[in-house]
Amino acid sequence: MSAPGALVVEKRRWRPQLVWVIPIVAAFVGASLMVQSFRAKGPRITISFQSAEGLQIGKTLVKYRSIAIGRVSDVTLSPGEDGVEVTVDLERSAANAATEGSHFWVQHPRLGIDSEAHLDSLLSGAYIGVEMGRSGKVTHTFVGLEEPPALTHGRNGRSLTLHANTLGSLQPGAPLYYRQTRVGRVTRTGLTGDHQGVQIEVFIDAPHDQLLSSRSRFWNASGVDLSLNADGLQVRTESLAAVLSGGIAFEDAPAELPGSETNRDTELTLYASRVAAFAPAAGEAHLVRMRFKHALRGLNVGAPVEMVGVDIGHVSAIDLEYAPKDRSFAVVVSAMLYPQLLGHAYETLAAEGTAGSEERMAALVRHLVDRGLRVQPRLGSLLTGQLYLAMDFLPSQSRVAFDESRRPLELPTVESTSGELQLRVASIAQKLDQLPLARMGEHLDANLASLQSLLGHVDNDLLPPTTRAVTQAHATLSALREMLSTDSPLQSKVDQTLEETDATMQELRALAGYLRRHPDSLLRGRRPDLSDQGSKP
Amino acid sequence: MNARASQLGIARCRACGQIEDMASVTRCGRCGRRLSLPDGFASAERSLAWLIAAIILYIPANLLPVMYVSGVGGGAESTIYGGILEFWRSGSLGLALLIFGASVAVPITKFVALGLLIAMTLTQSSAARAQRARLYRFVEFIGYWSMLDVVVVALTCRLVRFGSLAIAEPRPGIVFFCAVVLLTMIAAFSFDPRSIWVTESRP
Repeated sequence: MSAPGALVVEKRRWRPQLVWVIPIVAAFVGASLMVQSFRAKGPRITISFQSAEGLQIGKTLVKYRSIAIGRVSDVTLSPGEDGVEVTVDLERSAANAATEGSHFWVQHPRLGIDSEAHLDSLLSGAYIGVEMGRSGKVTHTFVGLEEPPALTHGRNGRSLTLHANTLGSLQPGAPLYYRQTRVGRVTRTGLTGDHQGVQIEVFIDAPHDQLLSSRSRFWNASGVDLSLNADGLQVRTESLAAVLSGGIAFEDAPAELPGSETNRDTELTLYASRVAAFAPAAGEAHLVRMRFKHALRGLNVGAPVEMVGVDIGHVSAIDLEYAPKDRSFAVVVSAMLYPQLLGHAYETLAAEGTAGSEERMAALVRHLVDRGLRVQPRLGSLLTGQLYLAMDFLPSQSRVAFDESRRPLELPTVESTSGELQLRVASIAQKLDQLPLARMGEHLDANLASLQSLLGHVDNDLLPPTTRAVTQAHATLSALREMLSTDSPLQSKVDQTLEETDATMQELRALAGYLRRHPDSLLRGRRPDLSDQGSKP
Repeated sequence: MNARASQLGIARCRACGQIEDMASVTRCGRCGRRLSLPDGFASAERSLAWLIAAIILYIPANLLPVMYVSGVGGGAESTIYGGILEFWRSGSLGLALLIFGASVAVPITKFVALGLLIAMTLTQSSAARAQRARLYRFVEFIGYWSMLDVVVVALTCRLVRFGSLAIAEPRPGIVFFCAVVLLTMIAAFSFDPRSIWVTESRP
């Protein structure tokens, strides 16, 4: 009976086996894992959005600087059913996102040709972007932004507000160029408080904000700037991206530009074009009126008014006036003039005290008119036939009455150069008309008739004898030729005569030789033995 | 009262069936296998230790992600439970049931069955001994299927490597799951089915 007893003792002295280390290790590992995962788990926050478009439970990430810092764990309808509430589990390292002032927005893929198109989200789907708040006050409920902010992650730089009349094609994210280099972007656009214009907030990235100066001019570089005016056709673009998506460009105005320092940091103007941006400050506007007695086809509202070749204003209205007195029509052109555009001349005038107030202005104009200042429509471009108004000194003009007190000032005018051209053509035509063409024709006719009779005389009286003489001469010549030909009787007779003469001469020569050898024969006569000498007896 | 072989110090070799007297030898004289008496409490205790370790590790195995799949459009880690739900929702009912069976039903069945066997052995219950023996054989049988998940993950991670298009990577959860399967197998192996029949009641 020892076995049972031994068993009982063994049971009381139970000692754990070594194998119990295994569950202890397992428990330790499991517990440490649990603690670790609990520690890694950041705060759980709720963000309300208008719509949960593109958000997937358990998939959609929360990204800060393109790094996932959390994940959407739940999407529910908000209690008021006017939006959705997105529950996000943040990672421990990104617990700072759960501070007051943090902004969340849904970043959808956006197609664009600028560099911030977020093409990554095209593949990965929408994600929630976050901009960390800096307040340090912890909160777990947020209202999400419906539009992604144009500026994120505390970029260094400078924000500016520009004012413009219209927005054009600008939108948040549109690029900002400096000498066609991208240096910033449009961050916000909206109407001004009084709805009389738009204000555009732009942000210039850090090193480039140094480029801003008091002379910086901003202009809308959207699209293709294509202008057809009195100067001809002009095309100007900033970049392809700007053509498609709009953009703003800025540059420093040249220092010599009058009024270039008038820009203030607070009230920056967004000009409609580069040309407008670098136009000198217009200054005070003066309305003037001009009366033309002839038609002004080709003169449009907005056409430039130039003074001695300098653009100082533009046509603001064109009206027709009927004068019952002499029953005539007149074209009345109103124009806005900006004397300040005369530049240094204006400054000199201002210094003289002749510019500035309306009265002084009128006095100055009177003086100029007395010196021959006239307004003349001129052809700006042969291509388009556009007219512009030129204020120029034409000293040959007779003096005209000028009412200094009249408002608006009425400037004396002369006919357009194109009208003069027409007049000149007309006068040439008139002179052509006055030529005695009919009489000249008659004279010419008479002359021609006498010429014809003269030729008839020649034909009848002079030609027949001449013909006869020629015939006779011809006959004589042919007879002569006949006489001289080799087979003619004359010729043969001459030949015969010549042959006989030749024979005679030979005999004479023989006689002469005999006589030289026998001179005595002259006395004695010929000796018979000497007959072989061949001489005449 | 009949004496039991173990009480006489006689053991049967588990490999070749040779009967040896434990008083003289510790190894089988025929095949050399270590001989052991059915030490009821000790084997149940060992098995219990392994089982507890397995149960502990089963918690992180289910909570931690087992696999990370990245495709076009971002990646996601999935736990076993999440994977089952996903398959179920996407309509792959068969696949969901298979994974559920291999990774939830089989381990939990093993835990319950082994726990029951160990508990009844330690309390020396004499009830339903024949059923308990059958239960043990059933535990051994389903043990093979527990590794299904691990094999699935291993194969997937090996096969799905298409660069940036699709990548599957194992995550720590699968290590724990593998450990759970191994520990339950060891627990089942440690349990000596002969201890089902051990009783303290002495003749």
